[in-house]
Amino acid sequence: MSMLPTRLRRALRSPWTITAELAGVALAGLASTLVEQHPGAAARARLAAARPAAAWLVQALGLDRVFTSGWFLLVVAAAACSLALVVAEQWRRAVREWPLLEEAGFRAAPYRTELVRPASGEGRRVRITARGRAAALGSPLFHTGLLVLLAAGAARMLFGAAAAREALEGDVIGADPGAFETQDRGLLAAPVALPAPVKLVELAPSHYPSGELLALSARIAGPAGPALLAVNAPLELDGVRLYLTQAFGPAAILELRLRGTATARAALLAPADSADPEWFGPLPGGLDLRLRAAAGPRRPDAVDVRVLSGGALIAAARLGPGGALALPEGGSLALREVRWWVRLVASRDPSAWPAYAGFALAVAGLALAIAAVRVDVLVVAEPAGAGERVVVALRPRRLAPLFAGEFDRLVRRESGRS
Amino acid sequence: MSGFALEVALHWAGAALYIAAMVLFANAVLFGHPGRTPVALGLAVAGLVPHGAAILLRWAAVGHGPYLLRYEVLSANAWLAVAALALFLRGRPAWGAVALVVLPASILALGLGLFSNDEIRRIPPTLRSVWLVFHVGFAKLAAAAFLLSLGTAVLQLVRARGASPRLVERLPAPEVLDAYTVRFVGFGFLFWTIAIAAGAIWANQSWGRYWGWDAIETWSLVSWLAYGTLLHARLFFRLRPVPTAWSSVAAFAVFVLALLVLPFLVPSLHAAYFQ
Repeated sequence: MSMLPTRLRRALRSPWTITAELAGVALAGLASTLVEQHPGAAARARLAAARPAAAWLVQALGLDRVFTSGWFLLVVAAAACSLALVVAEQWRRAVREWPLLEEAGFRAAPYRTELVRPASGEGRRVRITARGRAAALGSPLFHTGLLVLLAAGAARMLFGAAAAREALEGDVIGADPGAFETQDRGLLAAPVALPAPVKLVELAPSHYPSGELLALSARIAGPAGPALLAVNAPLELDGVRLYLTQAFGPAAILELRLRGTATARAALLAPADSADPEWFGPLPGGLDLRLRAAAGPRRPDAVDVRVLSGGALIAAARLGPGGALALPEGGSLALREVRWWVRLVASRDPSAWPAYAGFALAVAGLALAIAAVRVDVLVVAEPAGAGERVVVALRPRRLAPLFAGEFDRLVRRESGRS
Repeated sequence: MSGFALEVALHWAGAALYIAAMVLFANAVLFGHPGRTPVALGLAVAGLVPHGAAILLRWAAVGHGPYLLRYEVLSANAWLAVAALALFLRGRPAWGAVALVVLPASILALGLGLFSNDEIRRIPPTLRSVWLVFHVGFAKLAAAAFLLSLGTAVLQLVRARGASPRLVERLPAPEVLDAYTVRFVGFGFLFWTIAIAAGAIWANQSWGRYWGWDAIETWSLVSWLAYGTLLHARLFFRLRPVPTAWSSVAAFAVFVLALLVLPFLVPSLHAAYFQ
């Protein structure tokens, strides 16, 4: 930071700049709530047609992807620089202010009085004490924590990556990035891939008596043998964390045989979190399929199947695993089995532990800064005539009006009245 | 009487005692009967008993703490705010005027909760984490501290805006009101920081990311920045007591927007749990 030109340093350290940086972050938050983030082309076109000026503004300022827009990243970078300057300055101040005050340091004490008490026979005595000195470390620790958090956020943006896919029981998730349907990665991050193939052996949902989902876990066969993966209990696989989400449901494994075509096999997934799963999908030959399973916590053992052609129902039946439905124009649709599907997320995030450390530092610093107040106390006693003149001063570093009672008690104690 | 009917009756008993306490606090402060403040405080504390029992009954019935649905969350927030008020007023009878802000707000929260959806909803797997307790618990503590700061800030503004001299002389001195406003904001800011940090750690455990710019996450950050800016403005700009009080009221508005309003207006991971 000392490499920065003095004027730039002053500008970054200015309270007005810092206020502007904070306002910038708040404005980005406001924009993210008011403007749809990462809209599709259709939504963009709708906005452009309805409100061309707003669409231009959104486009120009990147308000529809505000947290990755240039101006927001610039604001965050400036805030990080300001914060770094503040941190350096605060540590210097904490070191400077750590020692006990000199007698002269009490001239500006908000509480100061003189009293006379009987002589003790001793000469001039000066007693200076301080409590709550650790409070001085609070603000530097807090701001250091914030700086670590910002650094962790930057590291995540550059090197963090996450991938997701839906997997059926029995699926093997390969050890290559293509094993995932979506990849969301930082600017310098490689796509996420598991270090070795992992098989999703079986899902085990459990439910409350009311039917709501209580817990979800999965048996996994991984490189180190069988393992258990559960919601809120990710699996650590050599730098990649594998998460089980609670988005899951039944999937019908179907086999379609049409006259003159090869047998087609397909898995049709019911929507997640559906109490009464009903799901749809296209079939080859311009057919549409509608499936419905009985609601319940157990894997459905039968599925209502309806086949439509051009919107008209052409065949319907309730099928169990192995059951088949003949189609009017020849061919058949067979339900091979019903399995659970679940959404898996894999993530590689080198910034997680630094972020935790940042949180810990920020909370510890804030606790010190808020809960502790440094209070310096001066008592000077010196012979004066037949008695002793005593100067009592108390200097709280902040919230001075709250220390009037403590000062009264101190004065009473020194005057021998308590 | 069924368990739910008893729960509702206890809630209303609590609300009735809070209302009685508020009336007595108003009488003590506005009409100069300071001797009635301890009685008013006693009524408020008495209200905590049936209200707390109602929360515990609900806890036993649904099998989890007050984490889901407005009904549970607002009721528990109101209980904690009144408890914090009682703790603060213990030994500080001259501060009874703070209750004239905190009690109505708590009664309003309790009433909003009582008139909202009271269905029993079980806690889903993603919410079954120890971090939920820290996240929600510290958010409630933050709400209580911020509400107390609102109380002292409003009294500061009443003083500054020329209330009758007889009322003004019954209010604490401006510099002490200011010091307590800053103190409460400080503690609320600490609790709010812990709530956000616990939420982030929990999000990483559940979803593989500690920050996702979810609408409520973002607004929690904005309200955190608002209170942080207020605390820093005291340091940088030597903000005077009255601007501090106005800033505290504004920051509280942002906090309420983030915590109680936006979950109903914008799609968010938090919204589903709070309907």
